[in-house]
Amino acid sequence: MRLFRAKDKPAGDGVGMTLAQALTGQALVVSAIRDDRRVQHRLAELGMRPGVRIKVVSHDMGGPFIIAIGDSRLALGRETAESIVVCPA
Amino acid sequence: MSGVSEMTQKTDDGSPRRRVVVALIGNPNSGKTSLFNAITGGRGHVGNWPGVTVERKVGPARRGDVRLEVVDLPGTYSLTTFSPEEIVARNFLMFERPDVVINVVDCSNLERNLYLTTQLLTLGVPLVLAFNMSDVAETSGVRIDDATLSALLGAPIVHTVGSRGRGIEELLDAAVAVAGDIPAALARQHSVDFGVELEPHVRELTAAIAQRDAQRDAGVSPACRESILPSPDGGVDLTSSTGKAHGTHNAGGTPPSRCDATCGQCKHAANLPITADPCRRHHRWLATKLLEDDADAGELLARLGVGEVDALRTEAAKARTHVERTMGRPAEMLLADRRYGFIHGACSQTVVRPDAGATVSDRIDRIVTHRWLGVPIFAAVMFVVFQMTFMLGGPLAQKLDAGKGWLAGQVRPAVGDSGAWELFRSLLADGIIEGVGAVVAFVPLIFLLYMGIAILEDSGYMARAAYVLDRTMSRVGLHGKSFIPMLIGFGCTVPGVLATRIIESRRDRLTTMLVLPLMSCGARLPVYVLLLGALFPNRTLVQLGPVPVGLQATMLFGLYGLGIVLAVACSLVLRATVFRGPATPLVMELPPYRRPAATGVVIHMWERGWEYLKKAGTVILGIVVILWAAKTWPGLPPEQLAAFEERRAAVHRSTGVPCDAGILPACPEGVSPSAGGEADVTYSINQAHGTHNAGGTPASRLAAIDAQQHRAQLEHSAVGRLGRAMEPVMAPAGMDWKVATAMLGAFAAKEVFVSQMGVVYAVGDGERTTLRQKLAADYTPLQGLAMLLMVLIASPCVATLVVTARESGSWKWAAAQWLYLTALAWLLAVGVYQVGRWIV
Ligand SMILES: Nc1nc2c(ncn2[C@@H]2O[C@H](COP(=O)(O)OP(=O)(O)O)[C@@H](O)[C@H]2O)c(=O)[nH]1
Ligand SMILES: [Mg+2]
Repeated sequence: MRLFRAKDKPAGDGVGMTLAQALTGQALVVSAIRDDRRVQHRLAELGMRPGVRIKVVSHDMGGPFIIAIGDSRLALGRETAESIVVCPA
Repeated sequence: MSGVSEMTQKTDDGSPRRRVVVALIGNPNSGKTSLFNAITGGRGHVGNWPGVTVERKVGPARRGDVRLEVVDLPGTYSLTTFSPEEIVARNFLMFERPDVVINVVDCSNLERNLYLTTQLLTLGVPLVLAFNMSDVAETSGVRIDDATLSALLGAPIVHTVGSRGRGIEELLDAAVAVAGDIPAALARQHSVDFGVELEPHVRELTAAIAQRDAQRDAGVSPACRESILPSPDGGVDLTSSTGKAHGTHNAGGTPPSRCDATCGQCKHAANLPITADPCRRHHRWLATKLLEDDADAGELLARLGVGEVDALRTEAAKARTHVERTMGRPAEMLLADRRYGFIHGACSQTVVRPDAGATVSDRIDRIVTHRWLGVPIFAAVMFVVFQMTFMLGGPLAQKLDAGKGWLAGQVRPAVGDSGAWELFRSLLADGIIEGVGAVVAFVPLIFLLYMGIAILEDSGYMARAAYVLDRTMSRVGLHGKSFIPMLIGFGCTVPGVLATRIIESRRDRLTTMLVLPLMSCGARLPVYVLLLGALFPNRTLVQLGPVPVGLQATMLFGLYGLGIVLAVACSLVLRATVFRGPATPLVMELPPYRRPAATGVVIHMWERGWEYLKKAGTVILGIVVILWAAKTWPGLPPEQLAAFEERRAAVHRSTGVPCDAGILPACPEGVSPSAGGEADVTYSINQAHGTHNAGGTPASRLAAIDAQQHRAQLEHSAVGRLGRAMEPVMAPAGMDWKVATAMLGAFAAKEVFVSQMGVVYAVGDGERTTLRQKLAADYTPLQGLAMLLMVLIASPCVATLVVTARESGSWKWAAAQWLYLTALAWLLAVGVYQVGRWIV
């Protein structure tokens, strides 16, 4: 049932991969967030900041993502997910 | 609740009695409201915070001889203000100075929830930590060393289960104890040490602020000053850098020596563990705000009476640049890192939690937010909510309506019959009872709908619905949550507008409110049915197997569809013009699924329903009475009234029905020259049948005379005249004064269009077929189409406007809603009619 388009494939070496390219169930570490300051700040306050381990709970192709950070579950829009640089944990 | 934070009064028996203001603050869904209800026993009052449409809940409680006033603050993730809710919460703490702040912490998600706690500690407010959801934490195997964690943070911890009212007494005891000696409590609390790179800047800015704070000593009692002593238990090293920071600090020689005041925090800043400031001037916290370049920092400083704000800003900007250059990251991110570092340090010493794999919530989410299943599940859930609301609420509403009719019936014969009484009776029956009825008719629907919403919210599903719909809605420039009010709007616009409260972004919320009336509400259906039935042939367009698809049904469907299309178009336009701005990116927490507590749901439903009744009800009632007056005055001239009486008398004479005490007083029911409309027509017909059952013909003749009189009265009244005056405007859309008058009536409630048309055509209520025939004789299908467009789009009803004004916080938005929809309707109707005439 997993039909991924090319751009949804995870990058092989994990360098420069964004959260938007991650697979369901994948464990990742946030390496940078490239959004405007306000959004960055908000995300940081919700626990999404560089160095943090996260996990993709589910994602909707072309739509939003559910990310596990510790005990919280965060829903993120696709654009936000595209601004979060991650590497595999 | 003023600036005076604590009041001591003597009771009758002479014992001192204190009144303590308690504020509840915490993350959304941490259980604040549940705790609030448990503390106050559900005796809270709901209102709005001044100037914003954020719910404000205040309630009384008592513990021993201490009277408490509990305030439920809106949910907030931090004191950095991203939303009106968060501003309300922060300002309350800073400017209304509650005696004690209960920080509600969801201890099944400790680290994230403690983030707010670290900010509260820096802010410097007397804190008690309510570790709520301790049942959930327990079952998932989380163990917390309360004593150590409490010592690390410097605030008491009490475990609670808000939904079952557990731990409330201990919580209140702790709160009362803290409120009893605020300076001591503040002195015990530890702020986060921001580390070697940031801490010197924070301290420098703190000192700079303190120096410019002219009121730093205001309201500080000598006892408070005394208490500013080195705290013996302070200085717990949470992170390795704490020690270093102190070291650097002492060596580096940046003690804020300029601060000469008794403000202990600044005086001892260089060599003391960081305790909260006992004067509650929030200097340290303001310093972090300045460093974060928070947009509100300047305003807050000014409001606290701190001078030279620009100089402070410049100083902060220098520090910011310095930090950013040396550290390569903005100060606010580094501060957030340090706060999480502090939390992580504290938790790693005190909290044991099993490694949680996929939780139950995750497993449910895999289905509920599934790419394909998400939308069908949402549709099913909403169907159930609707079914419940309109199936359960519909009959209740009908009962209330019947009760209204009965009451009006009681009033009519009960009161005397002379001219003045006649008028009073009409006011009572057709004005007030009708008006109250119009308000009350919504009540079952609103209460049930609120119950449905409360269940969806408390269970955690609402956030999932927003998630599932976000993809679709974001194309229209709206938030996923906008979908729910729109769906509710198909039932009734009023609860739809009220449901926009679930949308956080004000732009999204206003956009949703403004386009909501385009969803065809239930009250428009009878109007559609009348016009479609009267003016369009019931031809079968196509045969889909055994199901014939008729023209009327297709058009009905088309009207609903057109409403949606227009709503999408209008929200796109609004988002591109008035409410321009980046689409709010979806960043939303999904709380774990929970079984909603019945009491919480009922309290929620009751509070919101009652608020609607109180606030909207009074205004709606007033306007309905005004509309009644406009239909009653000016009354028919006496000679016309006499003419109608004469015709009635003629009927009586011809049938020989005894009318003992002269014609007028004896047959008041049949002849009541009421201006009310449909209810009266039915009523008079029934009465006529009762009294004059001698034969159908005289009764129907009397009814016909009544109907004619009603029409004459309506035509003569202010509404009728206004309708006539509107004719030139309506003519390009193919409409005459009759339609205009009916539209004016529809302003009270959309379905009134039908009864008003009945009055205009002088037909009784039971004679819809006659009305259809008469309409068919007067109007072409093209005119019908224009009318349908007007009914769909133009002028939302009074109730909608009132609720929009209330919820948007300004009549301006209600006026905007009315104007743009009416203008749009007129343009479309005129366009369709003119183009249609040219083609046909
Ligand atoms: N299991 C459990 N559920 C709770 C507790 N406190 C609140 N809840 C539930 O959590 C949900 C959100 O609570 P609410 O009081 O509305 O949170 P608020 O957003 O902070 O006001 C509701 O369904 C409550 O019934 C608790 O201590 N234990
Ligand atoms: Mg709440």
